Amino acid sequence: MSQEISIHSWPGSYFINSEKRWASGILSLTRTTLCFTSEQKHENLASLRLSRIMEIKMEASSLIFSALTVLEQGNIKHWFGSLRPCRIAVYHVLEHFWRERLLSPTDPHGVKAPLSKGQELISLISGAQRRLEDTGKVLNHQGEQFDNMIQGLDKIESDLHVADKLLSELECPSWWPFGKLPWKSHQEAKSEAAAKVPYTKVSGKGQKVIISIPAIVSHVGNTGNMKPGSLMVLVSSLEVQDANGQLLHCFEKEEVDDIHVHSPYEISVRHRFIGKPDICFRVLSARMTEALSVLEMQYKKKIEITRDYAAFQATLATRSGSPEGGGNIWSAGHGQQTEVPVEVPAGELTQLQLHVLQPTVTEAEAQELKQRNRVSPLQDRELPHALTRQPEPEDKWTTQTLAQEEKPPHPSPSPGMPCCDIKPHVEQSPSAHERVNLVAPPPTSDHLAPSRPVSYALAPPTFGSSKHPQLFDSTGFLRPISSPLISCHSTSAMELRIFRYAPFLHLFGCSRLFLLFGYTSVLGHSGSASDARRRSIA
Amino acid sequence: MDNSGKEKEAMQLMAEADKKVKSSGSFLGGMFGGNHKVEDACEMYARAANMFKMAKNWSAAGSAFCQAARLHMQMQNKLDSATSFVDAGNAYKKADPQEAINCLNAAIDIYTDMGRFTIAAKHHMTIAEIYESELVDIEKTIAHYEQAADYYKGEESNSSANKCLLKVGSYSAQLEQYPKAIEIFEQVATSTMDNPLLKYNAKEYFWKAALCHFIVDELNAKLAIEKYEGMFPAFSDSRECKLLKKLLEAHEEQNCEAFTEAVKEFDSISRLDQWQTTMLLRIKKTIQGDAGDLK
Repeated sequence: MSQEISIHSWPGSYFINSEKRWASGILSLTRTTLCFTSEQKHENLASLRLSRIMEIKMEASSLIFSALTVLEQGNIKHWFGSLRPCRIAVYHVLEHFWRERLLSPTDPHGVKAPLSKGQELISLISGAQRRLEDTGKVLNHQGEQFDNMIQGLDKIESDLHVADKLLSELECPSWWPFGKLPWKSHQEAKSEAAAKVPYTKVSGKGQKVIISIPAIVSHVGNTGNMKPGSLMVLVSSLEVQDANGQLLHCFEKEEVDDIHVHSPYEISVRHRFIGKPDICFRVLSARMTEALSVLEMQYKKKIEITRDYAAFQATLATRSGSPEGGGNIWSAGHGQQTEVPVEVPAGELTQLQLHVLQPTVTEAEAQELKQRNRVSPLQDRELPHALTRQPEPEDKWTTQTLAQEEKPPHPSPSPGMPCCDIKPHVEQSPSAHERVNLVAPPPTSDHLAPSRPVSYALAPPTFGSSKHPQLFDSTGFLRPISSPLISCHSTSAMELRIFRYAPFLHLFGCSRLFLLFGYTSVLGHSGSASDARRRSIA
Repeated sequence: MDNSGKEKEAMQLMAEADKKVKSSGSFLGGMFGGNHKVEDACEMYARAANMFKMAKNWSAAGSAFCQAARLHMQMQNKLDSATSFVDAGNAYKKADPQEAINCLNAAIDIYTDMGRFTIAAKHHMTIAEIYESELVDIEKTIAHYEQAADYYKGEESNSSANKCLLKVGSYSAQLEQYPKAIEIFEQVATSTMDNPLLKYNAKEYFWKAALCHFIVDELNAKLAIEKYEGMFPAFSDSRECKLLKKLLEAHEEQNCEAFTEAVKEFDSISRLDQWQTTMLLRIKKTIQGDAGDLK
């Protein structure tokens, strides 16, 4: 074997596994074998037949830097390092010769025919298909991860809920004979006042009306109660009014949980509640299309197209000449989406191909192409579907991470102090991002890092707005009267309680409780449901 | 940048931490804030470890993290202990793979005890990767991937589980444990068949299973392909299935040329990866014996 002429050889080094050392020498490749001879003694350190090679890899190990590894049958891995001129060149040559054992024709005179046009086309399409397959796989994996994340967040939320309950019990112990604690009643009055604010605000005409259309409205729940009225789309809310212009209900932008589009003329708007019936209005209007185009922009993710709508659209499409069908950009766009040609008719494709590449595409290749073409559009349709499903959890998740990241650092007092951040009252703002920006920054100490949120630190007094007077309570800790703590919520009374009990809890060694609450500030959670729940608890 | 200063500082911190731990263990020390001292020592070890990291002294960083982890464990801080073990594992990975595996195993024990199987599975995967690339122990790699897959399945993380299973399948086939490989590929293929996003990948898994069948026995392969076509009609349209049929035909006629031609045609359109090349080479060997080295 050693007499065989080597096809190529490279200077390099070989890792002798038994002695755990590197030996320099020459790696040479012959027709059948790959061998390594040492430089000094010219002994054969490694020799393996090409047919026994299972895998050739370029690996970077911490023990052995950027090496080329060859896995031999029987799990023997050979490491070759410091190859010259470069590792990649050696890799390509080795891989080529190894692969050629499979691919080279037994008849050495066989001339390799170049790829025909048809084959090239097939390879193009199958390449695209493979990428789509990979994309599908990755998307599926990501979707699963998102699901898991949401599950984790739900768990955290439910834990918080339990903690909240426990705290409220702590706050008003059963043995306390004098009703509510003084600061509790004070704070409740405040939160009630805060709850009233949106109502007084929304009914006002200060907000800009984008569009107002006459409509028949009905409150889902009291059946059959259809009455004329109007639907007003405002910048940050949606109002349903009766015929006299009296406000029936106002959905704040963030309160709207979903908008079902039943037909181009009928929608229903819902605000979900936990523990009490949802508020849902069904609105029917001939001019709904005008409002829909606005709603679609405003509530992109919340709009859901029902099956009835699709059916309606289908009948509309058959009567495309009818006046109702025209003039609606939104429905036109949607119609186009559903009418994406699922497959190219077989006859057409062949004709097209023959026209372009008449002499080179064989019948069999055309068949193959047709087949690939049939699969790809199907895939194309399903991928975007999966993609549109993902943004929902992604959004939820990003707002929460944003809340974590966007909090700028500010000077923090000693960690471990049982105290809290003070935050100015946060107005309900239209967009999630703005809301996040308003969040009070947490201290920069390690103790609030996501992995180990332990305690709150006190923000400098200047940080809180001057509207909120601060007092020293009997324990000597600075205590704000009305300002809630860090969190995305303006109405989260829970944190206030934490603050109040902080000194006591710490005395009792309840640091675990703080750990739990650390998440509130770090995640700064959003979600109208939890907000509503808090409000109802508070 | 000169990191020797950092290393020195880290050493000092370690010594101080050791002292604290010792004093907390004594009778008087135990009476006066023993726990507090241990906590301090933990923090010091972690700081020292980070400094070692800066100085790229990985094994020292690993051992410092390990110390911290043990102290956390002593204080019943399970989560902190596990995190420190993982940090230790990551540091050791760059210097002492075996020790890294030990640390990660310790972390896994804690995580499984706490019922956090997803994260345990993730670390099983890390261990498998270490075995795969650094220690080249394919059997252990397989074992850890299998364990990870089991944990993921238990947590309904099917796509992660399948990812691990596919690795197990590929390695089993490499080790010539074909029945196991076949079972895994078939299992993954059937599970992905009904998923709207993944069904396009099913053919690949069937193709791999069929290849394994082919190496074992030609007739088996034939029957298997028929079965797969019945289960998943799209498979019969795939290029893989057509290639398999051609290969079977060539194999029946013991026609090495036809075999090579078919493989070559397939490869010219979509390149065969190393695993497939290995498997096809094994099949080819059954036609031509061992004489088929380069001409």
